[in-house]
Amino acid sequence: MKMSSSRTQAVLAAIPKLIKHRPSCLVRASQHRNYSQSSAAKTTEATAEKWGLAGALYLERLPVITPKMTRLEQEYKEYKLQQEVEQSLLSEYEITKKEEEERLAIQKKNVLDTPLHLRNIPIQTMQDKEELWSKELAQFTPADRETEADKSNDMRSTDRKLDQSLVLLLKQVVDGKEWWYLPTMNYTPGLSMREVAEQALTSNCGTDLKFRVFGNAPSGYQIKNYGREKREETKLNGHKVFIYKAEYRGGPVIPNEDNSVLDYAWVTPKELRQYLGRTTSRVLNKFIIY
Amino acid sequence: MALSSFKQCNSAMPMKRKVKIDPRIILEREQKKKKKIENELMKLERLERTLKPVDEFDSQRRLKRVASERTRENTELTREEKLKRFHLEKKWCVYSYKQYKAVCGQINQATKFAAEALAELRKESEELYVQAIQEDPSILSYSKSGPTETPPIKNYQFPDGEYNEVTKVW
Repeated sequence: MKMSSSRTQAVLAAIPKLIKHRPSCLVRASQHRNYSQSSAAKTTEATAEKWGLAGALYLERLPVITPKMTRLEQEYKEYKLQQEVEQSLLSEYEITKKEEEERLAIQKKNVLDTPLHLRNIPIQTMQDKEELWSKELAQFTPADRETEADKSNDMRSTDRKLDQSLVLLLKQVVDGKEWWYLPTMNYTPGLSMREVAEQALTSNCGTDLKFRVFGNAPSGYQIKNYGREKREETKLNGHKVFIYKAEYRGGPVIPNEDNSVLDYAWVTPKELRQYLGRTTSRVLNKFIIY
Repeated sequence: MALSSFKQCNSAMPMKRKVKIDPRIILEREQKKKKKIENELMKLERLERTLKPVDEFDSQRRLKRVASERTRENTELTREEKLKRFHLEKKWCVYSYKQYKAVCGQINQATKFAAEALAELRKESEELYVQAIQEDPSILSYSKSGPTETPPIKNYQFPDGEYNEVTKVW
């Protein structure tokens, strides 16, 4: 993927070692550790712009069921299963079943030849066994793939759209305006960025939520520029939000009204655009893996 | 005098004196024999219950049928069916390649973005950056089982497995 913007190129140029992005490689953030103290001093003096810092948590409820197969996938699956059967040898079960059928056929033919005490002995044939097994299976009904929450389109439940991942979005009042965003919290000194992101969730949504953040490094970031008024007010150009990816493990979301959290919603990545603006959804799409 | 006593003697060999054994001792002896037999029986039963080590197992004789005996009678595929399968394979090849490329692209994009975020964090504060590049050993203990065909049933009552009732009846 070509990074066309000059800004990102400048950022990437600050990383001395080339990070080769081969398909199955992981981010070698540990390469950054080889920086010497001298190169670090350069970066801090340059920025004339001042940015506020914030941490956000991208809380994801991973898919519970497999996605629906496309027509091609279904056809290919059936073809492959058929081919597997054709190219296989007979199993022990099939051989005994065949022999049993032949035996029963002979018995039927020679009914009169068999002595009375051997006729019509109730033997449990393979057929009977198979019927028993299929009856046993019929007694079990699996749960529906489409849940009640799907039908009622309840945006607050995690039971919706089980074959896709859901993200938690909070409706907050910021500067008098209501807007939807990930759970965010402004940076407080003394904490690491990951802790800021974790607290962003627990302070806004209650401590009963169980989740797991992966690693200490952020998964993404978003820069929000302030308007002229706010810039003069806060003397900051804007603020940078560092987004951490987390897996939702369970527990209820209790919006904290003290923090002006009005509402919450569990939204699929494809529905994000309805809640978030164009730039935000573009940013989030960068680290969503469908 | 010796002759007269000799004529009176009727017995053959000098006999053993009959020792009167206590009936209790006889009972004890019989019980001991019984116990011995019982113990041997128990030992044999115990051996029956212990399982054979896996190395000593031989495959079932029934399964030793030769491959030629197990060939399947397949009907010859029609020309249409063969063509259909050929085209399916081609379509699948293209489809799976596109899928793979898409996933690779997403992963690449995500890793690049994460590296960018780290660089931005570094710009802001060296201390935060150093904290962010610390290793998190808890990642290694992470495990996840994949999505299933149907979701789990809520409040599912697990059926009892097969079991042997060993409760004592008094």
